Amino acid sequence: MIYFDNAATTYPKPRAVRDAVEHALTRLGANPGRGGHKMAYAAAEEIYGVRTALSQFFDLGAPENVIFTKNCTEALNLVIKGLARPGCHFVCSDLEHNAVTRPLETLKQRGVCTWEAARTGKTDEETVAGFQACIRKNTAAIICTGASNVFGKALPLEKLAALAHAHGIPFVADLAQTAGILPLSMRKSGIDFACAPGHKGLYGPMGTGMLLCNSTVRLETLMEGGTGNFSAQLTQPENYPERLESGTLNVPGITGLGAGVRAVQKRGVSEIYTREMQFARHIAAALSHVPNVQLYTDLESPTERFAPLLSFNIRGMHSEEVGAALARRGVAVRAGLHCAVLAHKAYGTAETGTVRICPSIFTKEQDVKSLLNSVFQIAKDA
Amino acid sequence: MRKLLIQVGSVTYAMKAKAVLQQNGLHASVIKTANPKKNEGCGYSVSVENPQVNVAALLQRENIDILGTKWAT
Repeated sequence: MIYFDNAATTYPKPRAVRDAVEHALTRLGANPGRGGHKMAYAAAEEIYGVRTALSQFFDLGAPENVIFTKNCTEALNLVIKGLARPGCHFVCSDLEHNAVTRPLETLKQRGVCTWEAARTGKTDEETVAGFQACIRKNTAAIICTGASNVFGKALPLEKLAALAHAHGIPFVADLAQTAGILPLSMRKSGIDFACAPGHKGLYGPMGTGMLLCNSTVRLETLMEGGTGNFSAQLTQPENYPERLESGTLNVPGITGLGAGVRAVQKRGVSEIYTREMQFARHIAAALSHVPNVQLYTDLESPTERFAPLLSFNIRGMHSEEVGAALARRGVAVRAGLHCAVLAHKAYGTAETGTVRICPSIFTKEQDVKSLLNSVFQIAKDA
Repeated sequence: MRKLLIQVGSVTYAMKAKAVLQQNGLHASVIKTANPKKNEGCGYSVSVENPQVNVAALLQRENIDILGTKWAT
């Protein structure tokens, strides 16, 4: 199989990740932060080591503020619902994933809060102005994706964090498509809360994600339960990470995630971005010459930045038809709406969806050739 | 050998305290808190062998809250 569905989850995973998961399953089988025996300590040590690695990777400066979740969606729910107060208002971008818009819409339908999507522009200034126009007196936070999961367009997180702070509100970043791809310093960027998957650009197993807290704003809990500390109290403990991590942690997954982060660090974020962007540019350039192909991601735009992924359609075919035709040829992509109807509306593709291509560190030139040959053939037959 | 037992808020802070103390050349290990206070329940402590420096200051500098300390042999 030729795999270009890496924006959904990266495949394959580095060998070290698979080995780490096996190590955890065989050697770290006890519950961390609960027992006082050797294997429980070993598991707790491993979990803390991964917290430390992630804190260093994102320049957070506080391992205890790395909250493990089962994915980026759970982290976004934690922070959105943790910040929501009756009568408040949220602003997000018009490129958000349903992981942001559905929690917001759920809160709206429950009568808790309202929200609106700011228009993004071709320049950072237009995008910031779009957000500025949406901010109200009762806005509780700005939430924004690092890059569209459909079109790859990167948004100016640092400038939006500065805008949020100018209004005295926190800034939340969705790093689903940028963690491990675009460098980020939590301390320098001003991002208050960042949500990231462990299983995409960080090459951890599925079922891993995280919330990075860089703010003194206290989050209300989404879930309560056993944390292994202050057990005599009926109330949830105040201290992070346990406050937001009730129940047994995914030790094999988190151990694998630690190996994934180390693999990314070893390779270098900048080198990964450069290589994947070369593939994305090559694919975009080739597709732009196919008469039947409509490309939606302009990687050569002088005013925009992108994560290394792109979307296209073949005229006269629904994106799902193209995805199925590629699958029959052994090429894995994601077609449809990508759980991001807002982004498709912004680009005028909500009716047909698009076909999304995303390389990874394991993509080879031969994979690109095979993908392009398949698309050329399908476009020719359309 | 005398040991200083430092009770902290969670296993995460115990691990962090251990790392901070080791970085400062001290021999530290994480243990379950023996005889926790009635209103707290289970928790973790860090055991430091014969500390010659102000351990509390080291930990507080790293935002580690100390819930209690006691000496053991």
